[in-house]
Amino acid sequence: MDDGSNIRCVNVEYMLSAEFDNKLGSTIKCQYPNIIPGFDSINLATLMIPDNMEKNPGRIDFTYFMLYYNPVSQNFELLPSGDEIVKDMDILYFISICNTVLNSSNERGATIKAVSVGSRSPDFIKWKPFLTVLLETIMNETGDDNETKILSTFTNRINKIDFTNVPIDDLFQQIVQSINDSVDEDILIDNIVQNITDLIPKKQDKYNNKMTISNKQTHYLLSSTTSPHLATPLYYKLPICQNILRDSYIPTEIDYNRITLKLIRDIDLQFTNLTEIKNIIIYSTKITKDYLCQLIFAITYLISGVDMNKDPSFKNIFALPYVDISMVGLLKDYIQNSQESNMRLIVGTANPIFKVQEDVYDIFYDVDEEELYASSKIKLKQSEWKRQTLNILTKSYKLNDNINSLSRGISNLSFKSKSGSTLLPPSSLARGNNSSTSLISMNSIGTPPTLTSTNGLRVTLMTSFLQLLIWEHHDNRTILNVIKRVQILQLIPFLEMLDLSEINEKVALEITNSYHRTNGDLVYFSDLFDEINLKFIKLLYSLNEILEIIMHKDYFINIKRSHDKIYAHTSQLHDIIKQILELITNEKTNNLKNLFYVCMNFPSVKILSTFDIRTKDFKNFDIKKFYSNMVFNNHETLKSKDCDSLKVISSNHDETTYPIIDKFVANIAFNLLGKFLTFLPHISEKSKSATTSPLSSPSKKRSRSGMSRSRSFRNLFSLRVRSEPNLKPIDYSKTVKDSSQKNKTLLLPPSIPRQSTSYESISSSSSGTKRELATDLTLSHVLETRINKIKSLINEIYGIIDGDNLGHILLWGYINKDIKTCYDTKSKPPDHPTPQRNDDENVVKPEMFTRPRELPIFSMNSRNSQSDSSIVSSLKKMDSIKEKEGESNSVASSVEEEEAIIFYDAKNL
Amino acid sequence: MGNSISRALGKLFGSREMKILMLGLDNAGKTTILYKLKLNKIKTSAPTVGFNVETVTYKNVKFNMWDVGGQERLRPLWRHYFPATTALIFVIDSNDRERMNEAKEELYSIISEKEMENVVLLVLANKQDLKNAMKPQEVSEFLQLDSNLKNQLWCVIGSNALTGKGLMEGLSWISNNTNKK
Repeated sequence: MDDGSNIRCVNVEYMLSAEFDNKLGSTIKCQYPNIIPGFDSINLATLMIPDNMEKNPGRIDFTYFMLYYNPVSQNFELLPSGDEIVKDMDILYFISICNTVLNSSNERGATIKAVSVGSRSPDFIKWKPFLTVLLETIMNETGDDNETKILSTFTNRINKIDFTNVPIDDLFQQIVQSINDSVDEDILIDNIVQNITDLIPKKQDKYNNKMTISNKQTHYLLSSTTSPHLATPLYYKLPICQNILRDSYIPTEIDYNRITLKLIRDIDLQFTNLTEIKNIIIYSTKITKDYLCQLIFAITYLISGVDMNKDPSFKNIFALPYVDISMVGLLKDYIQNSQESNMRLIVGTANPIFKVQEDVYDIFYDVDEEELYASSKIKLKQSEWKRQTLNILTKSYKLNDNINSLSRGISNLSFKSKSGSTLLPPSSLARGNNSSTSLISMNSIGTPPTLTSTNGLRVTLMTSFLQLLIWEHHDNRTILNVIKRVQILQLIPFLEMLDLSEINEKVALEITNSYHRTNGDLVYFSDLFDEINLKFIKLLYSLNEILEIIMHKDYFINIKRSHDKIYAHTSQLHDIIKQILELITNEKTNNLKNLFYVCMNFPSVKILSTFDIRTKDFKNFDIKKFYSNMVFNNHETLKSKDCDSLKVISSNHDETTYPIIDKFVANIAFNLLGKFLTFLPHISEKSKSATTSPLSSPSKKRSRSGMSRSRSFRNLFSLRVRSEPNLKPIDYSKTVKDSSQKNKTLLLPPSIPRQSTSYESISSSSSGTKRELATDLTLSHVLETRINKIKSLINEIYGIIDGDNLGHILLWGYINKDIKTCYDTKSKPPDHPTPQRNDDENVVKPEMFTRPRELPIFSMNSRNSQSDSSIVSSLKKMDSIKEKEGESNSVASSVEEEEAIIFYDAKNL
Repeated sequence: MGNSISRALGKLFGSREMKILMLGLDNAGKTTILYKLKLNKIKTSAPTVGFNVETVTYKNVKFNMWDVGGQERLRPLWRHYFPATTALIFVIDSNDRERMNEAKEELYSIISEKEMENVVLLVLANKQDLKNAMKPQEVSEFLQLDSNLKNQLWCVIGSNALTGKGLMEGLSWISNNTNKK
């Protein structure tokens, strides 16, 4: 145990205090433990005591800034030097708290002070409560010596907290960040956190600070025994809280909906060449500096290729969360020197004078007025870009009425601001959709205004979804997950024509460039362009496509019972599954978690069969309508082109309130991986010995989760004997009899009468000769071997996932009841042991995840406790229905209808 | 959109808009003047951290008034506020005779800037309510504006920010003289 003699600055590197001097202005009073190298060149005090701080006495505010170490000058600087960012760039993250206290003893009537903590951890937020208490203490001190003493005590004490005892892996964070399901989200995350917690042996750190975990946070309470010299008892009562899970590299408390997404959407829509938009100033006097700074972090994070493992600086995007006018010279120099580089600056300010400083921004965004200004330089370029774009693209929109033409005229003309910069009106005006907005708000409550760009480019699917997100106000996790899913949708067309073996690092880079050229979205996730993630996206998409074909209710009609085609399709499926397995069992790379990551974010891809989203212009497109009808409700009758019409929106109120986003972010890929397992009835050894069959439930009941066997395949493989190696045709009536007698031979799957009906139907559609039947049987045998092989591979994949701690939780949290029933857990490889979940009540029990979704349909114990009596009951039921079968055709037709519903669900896992 | 309509209407009915920059040493009374003009209230406040900006409308003229902190370390930043300024109001604490020279130096430092050579200059000799305050005439002579500012419109007006005395006269002078320009 550390005795306190060897204190290392780990958590806190520097502590500063500052005061507003009545004669001098903002001044640094104390620095501990040393003076920051390069301190003289940076006016840190003005960053700690922001503009207008005197206006709200008694109301604390926070500012943030970073200092970058320059190895050449050996100083810390406000912006990094050099064109190339070094990988191990040393960054200090500072959070400051400031307050104004009215003080009659002060000749100007008030004291303004600030305290700042600098650390190498970007997790600023955790210092907030402690800094509040510290500032209170500092406010009451007068001498510099006393302040230094307080800072030193605080620094030394904070450095005796071990924040590293909670194991948080970066990829793990990414996966957990992707959890988003209206039903299971909290349960899943709670259990994952619980799992992490269980890995921590002691509930105190190595310095005896008490550690508790609640609400997905670790709470550290300072031990009074190791630092009795902290005068304020509050220090011991106030925990330092650290979020176990984080949403971004620099955690923020920002709601992306409030400003962030609007700004990104507006820039997307108004500017043609986003790569030329390098320097953005965000200005507000109405929001707190704390919010302003965090807003800058959020925007920087989102437009830097969202990567929670890297500071955006490493992607040449720098956040200056707050600057005052004293920094304008620094900004000018920096921008001048980095004109040829790809560096971007996102700057926050509360001083409107920056608007006239056009050489320090390309875009100036006034948060308070929601106005976007372009500098004269960008305005000139924009005209050129627009001209070039319009030469290429056909101008496809027409003005509907005078109001529209007036507003479009205004938007295209732009305003000349007093300062000479070009004022571009807010996007709601600029897109010339005043009339459409009002039309929608009159006709269709709950539908976002449709989009039109003013930049001459098409509106992408991403922007269309951003608009929906802004309209519906979702939480940050949902927003990020929607963006990831849309990005995957936009990526797939680039992967479609590629063979898996062609996807390598170089191709991944080309795909990235093509993606950006085609879509040009400001917000994207860079990790989805990783080679391995692209491969998984490609494989999951291919898997979905082949399953769509094979598991289609009319598969055999569609392919006209072509044996070659069936074999080709199953071979394709086999290859895909095998490739997935090969990727996750690759010893050189740890790809399993990449599979989790892609699976967590893989969306429904139906839109890809409707549009070429690389060229589709989503202006005036009702994405909500499209998804509610085409994808989730499957109203085939609605043509996609209807979604381009505003008239449709007003015609159906119910569908516009459909929770599209919730459906869109629901996890489908873990089920997709094992969907084929349900293709044929599967009897485990256990159920075989008990002569039970799981047939009745999945095939008869309409699963809410949508898994069901294909009737067509049941027909194809109906003549199948599980207990005997050789296939032979068996007469239905005999089988029923055998079953009732508990014969060891179990016929699959005639558990419900409609199968025989459908079998006849299919037979009649073919020639129906005995010879063909024999061929079918031979084919059945060959195919069954193939099917079994595929299923074996799927089981192996599931087994590997199941053998991973996180994978186990995700798998059992997401796969539906039918797949669980068919998943042979014995396939789990020995090197991936099942967690001892039944022996330890603290560890996750997979069953708990199934309830929310599955209980309405199946009981939890249906798989293992299905008794003989239930089988007999099923068979009796089957008999009784069979008797009725000949009596009425209407029964058959109603059964057919039910089947159709089941098949639809099966497609929409 | 709203701004442009307002500007169009302004042009139609003869209203104007101008940027006024209010500078001076710390504790000269700049912020008190600003809020007396804006709210007709005495807003006793802590020293200005950075700046204040308010819009004051007087006789159909919209004054966008910028009040920038006068502490030593803030003075080098004044120049960033110079662009597009129509008039400079330099506020002097008439009672602080010890710092009168310092104020004079700062004033000349400002008006010697190229960006400020065409602005009209109003010097408010503030705190006239105090016993030892220099009279406007004294301030004017001390500043030697008559001999040094041959090509620039200037005026020294005595003021009391607490009562508002001299403030409207100052705005009126600016309005009249910028109108003539």
